[in-house]
Amino acid sequence: MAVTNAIAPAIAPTPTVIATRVLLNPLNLNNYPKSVGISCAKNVCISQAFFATPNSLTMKYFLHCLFITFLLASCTSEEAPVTEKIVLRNIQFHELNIDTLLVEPPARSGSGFFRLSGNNLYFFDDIFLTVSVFDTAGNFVQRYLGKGHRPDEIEDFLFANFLADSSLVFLGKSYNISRYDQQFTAQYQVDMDWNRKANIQYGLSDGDKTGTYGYNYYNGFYDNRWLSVIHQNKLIIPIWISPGVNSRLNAFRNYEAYYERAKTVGVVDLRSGKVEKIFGRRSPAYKKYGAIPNYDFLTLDSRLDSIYVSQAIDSMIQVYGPDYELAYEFGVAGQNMNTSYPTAATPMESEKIWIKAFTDYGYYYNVYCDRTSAMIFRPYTKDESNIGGLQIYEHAALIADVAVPKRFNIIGKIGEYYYADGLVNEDQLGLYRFKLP
Amino acid sequence: MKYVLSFFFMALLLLNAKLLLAQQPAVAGLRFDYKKYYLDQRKKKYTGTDTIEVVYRFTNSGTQPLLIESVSSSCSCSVPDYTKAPVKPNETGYIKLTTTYDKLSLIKKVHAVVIANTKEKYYKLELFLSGKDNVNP
Repeated sequence: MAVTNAIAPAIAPTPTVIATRVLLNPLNLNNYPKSVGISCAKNVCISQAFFATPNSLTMKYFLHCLFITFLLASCTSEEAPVTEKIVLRNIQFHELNIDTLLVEPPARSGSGFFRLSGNNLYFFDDIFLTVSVFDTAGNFVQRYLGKGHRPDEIEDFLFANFLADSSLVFLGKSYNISRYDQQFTAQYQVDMDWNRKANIQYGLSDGDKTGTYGYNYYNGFYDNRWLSVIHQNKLIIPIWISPGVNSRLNAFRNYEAYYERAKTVGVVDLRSGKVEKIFGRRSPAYKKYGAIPNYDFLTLDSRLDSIYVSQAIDSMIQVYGPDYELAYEFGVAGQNMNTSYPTAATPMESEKIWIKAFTDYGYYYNVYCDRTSAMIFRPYTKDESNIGGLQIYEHAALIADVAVPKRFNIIGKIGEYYYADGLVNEDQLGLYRFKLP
Repeated sequence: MKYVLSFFFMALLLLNAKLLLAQQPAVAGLRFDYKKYYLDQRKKKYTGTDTIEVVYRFTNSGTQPLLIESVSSSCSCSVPDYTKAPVKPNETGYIKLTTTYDKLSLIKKVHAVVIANTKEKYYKLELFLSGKDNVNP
């Protein structure tokens, strides 16, 4: 389907501006793709219907006034602001030529993830706590860290990534933050501070309190535990409310209220560890599916001042601006995804089904923003087969949705090649590599 | 003439072998009999807090003494014990993982990371509650 004359704005107009467009030029959808009208807020859609039906001038005048009144009332209400939802397809190719680059470190446990920095590829072994470096031909170069307390060792890690200056940030098993320099020498370690008050029973109305949240580590089997840093010193993280912290507001108990009130993203100061800000909202799709706690997760990345959030079961990628407000959403649903998600009312039920929930159903498990272009990559699972999908967006338009192996997390680009994590098991270790046609 | 040529050929072979050996650094080597162990309930039925002990035997396959620097378990449910003294070339040592049946039942598997003075340095040993065929080497 060809794209009409629609250009995704960097920041969406405010609600007032959107309403004005409709008022001055009713039913003018020429500036948007047709599908945008489907997702508009109630007040905008109602206005379109009113302008389409009346016959007499008096009736038209009356309805104009009624609409303006209604609009003003809506604009002063506490409801979530209208955001643009963009569904654009501009398919340019249907398949990728993918190479597999196998690597062999001196020792491997079969568990970990890949990263990329400069012209080298790095395997973070989360059992041996080592980082093995390879060149783009797959040759082993060097190994860093290992378990220990010396400055050139590390006690543990679950997540890790390079910052723009090639220094590193690690997130440990206790969700403490460790910073290492470019030579893999420890700089400092700090605990994440959620401002949790002791002796407080967090409840149903505490969705805006930082202390009720924790790091949302849940992310299926194919997650590569990406960490994203914005503004050079703020870590952005997925968050959730654990039933252990808040027994009233969580994905099991009062899940509808949880979907509506609980935030999704946290901002952590890298130096102090303080969780300074919580924001974001869950997709309305969650309410549609009911109690699906196994899919209460998201992945995120940042580019310049924008934060891109992809929730497990939502085709939309949310884009938050530098003020942490939702600016707009874009996305197209993946192909042939099994979305008959199993429900679970308790943590025990969720535990029983978690393997099947992650292996047999379709969900979006990562989002990556190429900092050198307008490309955004989003891999997803479809069902129990070994084939997954990879969506490639340019700005907000889907330019390709291609078949890829399950676990295909884009980690960066060297020269013309994009690299994806990966083939990680006890028998083989490797990355995928491809060029865009 | 034939014997002279054979003699020179053998001498050349021996010289190359010696040079080759001289170039290889003397290192310790660690070779385990097995690194994964599946609890076989057909041999013995475990229940409740029954103690489970698994011994992983290894041989120093290198030319230098082998030293197990540390063994750390993936959880506090398992306590490792191991040969502390250096193990001479071609001699054997052990690493023992101990836990209880109820703890293993809860988490299904335990692993330990072994650090040794070898080129590889890191090794993973695993103990599973059950395996496909409950087969151990």
